[in-house]
Amino acid sequence: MAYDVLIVDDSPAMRSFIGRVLGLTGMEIGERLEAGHGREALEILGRSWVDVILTDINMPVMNGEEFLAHVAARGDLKAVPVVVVSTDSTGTRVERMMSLGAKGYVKKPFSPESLREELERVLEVSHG
Amino acid sequence: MVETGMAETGSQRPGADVAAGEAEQVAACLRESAGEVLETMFFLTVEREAGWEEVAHKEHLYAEMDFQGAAEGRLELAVSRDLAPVLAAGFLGKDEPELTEREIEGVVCELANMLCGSVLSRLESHSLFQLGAPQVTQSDLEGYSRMDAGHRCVFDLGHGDVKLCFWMWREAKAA
Repeated sequence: MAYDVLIVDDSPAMRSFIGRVLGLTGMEIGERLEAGHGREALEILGRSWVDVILTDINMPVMNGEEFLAHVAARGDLKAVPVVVVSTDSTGTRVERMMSLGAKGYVKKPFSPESLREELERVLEVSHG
Repeated sequence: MVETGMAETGSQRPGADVAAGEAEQVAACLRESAGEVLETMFFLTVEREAGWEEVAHKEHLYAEMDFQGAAEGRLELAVSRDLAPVLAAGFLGKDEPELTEREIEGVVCELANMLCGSVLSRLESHSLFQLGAPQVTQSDLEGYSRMDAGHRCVFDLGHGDVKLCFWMWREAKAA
């Protein structure tokens, strides 16, 4: 099964890096959508279905916390797991993002293996 | 080598500076963070720590970012011009001739962002911070008067060097 992914990050360089690393995970990736902030991501989610969302926290216009709150409030998006990908990985921040509805957390810097492990966990991918 | 001069910080910013006893902890965090970020995300290894004056003559690309929260501070980064395209090519998976200046600057900003987050996560693992957006600046780190008041270090990566300066201030507690 190919997974459609939405990458939300204000840094074009990081979006490009995450996209490249997704290709290195060995997972089958379908459509790869990108947004520069939470509001743009919500617009994309209004017209496209994705299997998983990868989002940064510190972004202009709408940050990751606000974005998570909007996703949680939308019934049609409740089944879409959100994984936070951030440099901000203090224990307090991780707890806060998980309490807002994030299903996973990947700390930058990260390896393709760690991204894959977290994606497989939240997507409940089974082996064998 | 990591150089520190935190005792002078308080004269330029409100609140108390980072306790002198934390200087070694900050130094260790800078080393660990630089090593981890450069190796994991850029596939480059720190060959050695260099002296500040050793690379003073080289041209660098500068970026900086502020943070607030449990403490307030700033991280400043300088990547030597010979290293910057190598970093960007490794990060973006492109050949160096294909890179635009904007792409190189974006990668340098992202390096600053990851280093700052990594250092804070090590120093203050149970605190909340708001990280500002990293920005490229043409400011010359050597010219900053507060330069002597921060933790600073230089990492030689073979292809070039990365200079790092880190400041952190805490509000003074009421007596």
